[in-house]
Amino acid sequence: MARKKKKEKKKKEKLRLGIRSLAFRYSIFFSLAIFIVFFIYFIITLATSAVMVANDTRKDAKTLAELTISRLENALVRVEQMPVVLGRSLEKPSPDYYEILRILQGIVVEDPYIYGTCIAFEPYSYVKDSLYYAIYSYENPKGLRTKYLGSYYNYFTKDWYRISKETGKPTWSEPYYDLGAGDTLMCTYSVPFFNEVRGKQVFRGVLTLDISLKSLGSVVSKIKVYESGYGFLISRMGKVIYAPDSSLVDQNILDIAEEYKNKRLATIAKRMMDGKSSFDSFSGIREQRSSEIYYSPLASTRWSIGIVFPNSEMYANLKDMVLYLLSAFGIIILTVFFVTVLMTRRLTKPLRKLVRITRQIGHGDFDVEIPKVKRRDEIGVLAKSFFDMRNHLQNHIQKLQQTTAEKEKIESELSIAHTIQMGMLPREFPMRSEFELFAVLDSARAVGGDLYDFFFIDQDHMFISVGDVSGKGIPASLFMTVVRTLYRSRTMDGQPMHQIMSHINKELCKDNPNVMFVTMVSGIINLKTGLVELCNAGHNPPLIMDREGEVRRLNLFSAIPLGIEEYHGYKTEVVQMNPGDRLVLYTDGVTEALNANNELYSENRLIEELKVNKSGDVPTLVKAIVDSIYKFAKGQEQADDITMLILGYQKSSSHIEAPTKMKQLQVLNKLEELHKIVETMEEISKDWNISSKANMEINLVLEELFTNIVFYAFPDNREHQIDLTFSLFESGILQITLVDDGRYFDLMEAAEEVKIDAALEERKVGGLGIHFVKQMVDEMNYERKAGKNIVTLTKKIK
Amino acid sequence: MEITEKKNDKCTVIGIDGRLDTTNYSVLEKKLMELIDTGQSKLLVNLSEMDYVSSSGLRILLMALKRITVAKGKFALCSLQPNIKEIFEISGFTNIFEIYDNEEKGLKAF
Repeated sequence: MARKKKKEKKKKEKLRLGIRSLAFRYSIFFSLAIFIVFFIYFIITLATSAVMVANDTRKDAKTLAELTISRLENALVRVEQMPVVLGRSLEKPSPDYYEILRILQGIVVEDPYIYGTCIAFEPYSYVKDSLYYAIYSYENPKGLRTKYLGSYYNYFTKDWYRISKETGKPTWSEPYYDLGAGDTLMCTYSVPFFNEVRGKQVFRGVLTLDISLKSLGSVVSKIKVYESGYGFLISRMGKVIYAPDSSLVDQNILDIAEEYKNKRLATIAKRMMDGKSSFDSFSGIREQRSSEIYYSPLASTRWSIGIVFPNSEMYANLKDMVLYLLSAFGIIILTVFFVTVLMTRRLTKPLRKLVRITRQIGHGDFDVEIPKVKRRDEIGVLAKSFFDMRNHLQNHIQKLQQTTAEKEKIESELSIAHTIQMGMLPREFPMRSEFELFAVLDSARAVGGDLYDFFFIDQDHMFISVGDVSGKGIPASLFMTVVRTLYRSRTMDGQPMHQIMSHINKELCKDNPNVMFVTMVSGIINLKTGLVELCNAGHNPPLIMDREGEVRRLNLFSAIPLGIEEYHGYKTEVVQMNPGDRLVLYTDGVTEALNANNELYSENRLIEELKVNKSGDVPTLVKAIVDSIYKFAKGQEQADDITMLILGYQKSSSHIEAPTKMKQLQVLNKLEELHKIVETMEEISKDWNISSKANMEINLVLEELFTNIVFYAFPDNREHQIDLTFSLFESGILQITLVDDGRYFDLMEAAEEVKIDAALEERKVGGLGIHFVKQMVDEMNYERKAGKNIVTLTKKIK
Repeated sequence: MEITEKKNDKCTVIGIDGRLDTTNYSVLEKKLMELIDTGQSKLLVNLSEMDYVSSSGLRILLMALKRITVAKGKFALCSLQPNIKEIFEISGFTNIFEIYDNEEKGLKAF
């Protein structure tokens, strides 16, 4: 069951980082990087390829154009050469025209481009009586035909004859439809021939060769660029000699441009007609699509050939390339992504294990198994360090647990020691009319080395002391206990103060291997006279503040601390305290308290604070001084015990002399305790010679006061102590003091006058007690002091 | 404190012996109220052996007197010690209670 649970826990702790995982992020990162690189490569490739393709295409187009031009030129040159060759024989004094005609006819038959040939003479120059004499031979599907062109065909006005005659040079005519002769689109090359007559060249006629443009067009029509690229041919004047669309043939290209509002065509056509050769962007003749054109002229006829190739087809191959590139690209990125994911997951596998283990260790499971990582990379090192860390932590925590356990043990012992030490200090401060006493000891640590003490030696004498044991902790507190036992046992003998101190000193020196010592101011105060015997053993000098608030330091002879030198002498000095004086004893924890600026609280500050708080009673004064120390040293750690004891001396106002007899009694706030009061009264009545009547009256009063306190003073329903002091004075006055720490309650204020003369019906059942009290004592006084109710009763008994 | 009870044909005589104070007044209270509740409205309290009484004790005696007066009975005290008598005087009880010097005189009054 437990194992099952553990397994579930493990499952829960599995890392689920998803898209935040290293693997995923690295993959994205690498894929992105590769994508960017490929993208740039792709753009560059595409651009260069496009340029290359364009260049190639242009080169091809140019080559194609040149090839076509050279083919055309070939045909034309042959035409141009023949008349020249024949011209010479024509220019003989008596040429054999028929011979010449036969040669020409042979050419017509032979040459596929030459459609026909003609010899035309000047009027009457060949046959004397004939105005016209021209022989025209041409080819038709049936064979060679020869015509004699007579008077119905006035060739003298035809361009081919006229221009040749006028210029005297061979000329190419514009393409034309010759309806008379060939009935086909043709172009004529005319060569004039002359005879030398008396040393003078005389024009005799014109020799022509006709070229069938249809056959020349077939040369151009062979031009194929890509799918729909084509060539076209125009004449010097812009007449279309060949275009794939045969309806355009024989039209002027400028007219076509105008007809189709194709400005680009017009521009290109003009450049072509100017005999220029170039690449240009083009939009087609009649069709409108983005194309390029290459045009170049023919040298002989000054015709121009144009080759058009559509851009879309030109870059068609590029499209395929782009597709191939993109697919390759996608495949590579996907591969990289998955490979990176796998690689990173493999790399970080130990890391993820470590994370899981860290969590377990974090939950305090140090026994978790750390898998061995054999890798020597950073992760291997990490795993090794982690292993070491776990072991160190484990050791450290074990040690810490041990130390803590030991420390706790010591602390608990210290706390017990503290309780014992504090238990030794008197906590109940006597409340008497002739003096007030209050003391505070705040330990800096669990067990301190300070002490204060006071106790009655007899009715009139009280021992007070404040000391500081060297060192702290249990040894100091044990040493303190020894000191306390010593002075407590010695003081009762009635010895003077310095003898008591010397005795303690000797006892402490006897067996003190650790050389512990104690500084101490001790004194015995005679409460009747106000005389104080004081002895200082290396301690802070006491202060006295008078009724007016004037503070003086008691510069006592300061002997060395107790426990150092066995035979050292101590000195008793007597100080008179006047009513209203307050004797202040304290340890150096008070004056040497440090504040945040490392300043001492100091004696001066203590004196100032005493003055400021002079008006309060003694407990209030002590508390105010201690508060001022904590306020001064705010935030600083308390370095030493703070101990202060103040004794305020007062002479009783009601009676000046000291009581001759005294009895003290403590009872709890329970009705059952009443018998203790009754018994004590019984006892002192016998001892102090008090009449049975007075005894009964006092009993009545005390019962009333006691039951009142029991019923009303303590709403907390807890156990409290009530102190009774019985004092008998020489004058025969008995004084009884009741002190309780209950809530404020002045019996006299609360009491209602009882009507003792009233009739039965009017008499109330309660209220009688207070009446008794008033009737049966001579004086009753109520005081509220330091949180206590103090009732003082006075009754003359003698 | 001890309480004794003697019955005769005229009334019931209660004797109180010892201290009557805050710690034990309830015993007397219970006793007296019991008698009154059972219809005995004629009571004579002999205080010859009572050497102390506090206000709590006086309160019970006053309560008994009031109840019996209402019940038209009779409640009387006798044989008070001088100290006790003084307390009765101080509290003004001598004016309220019928007090006889001894039991004999007290019984005659019933």
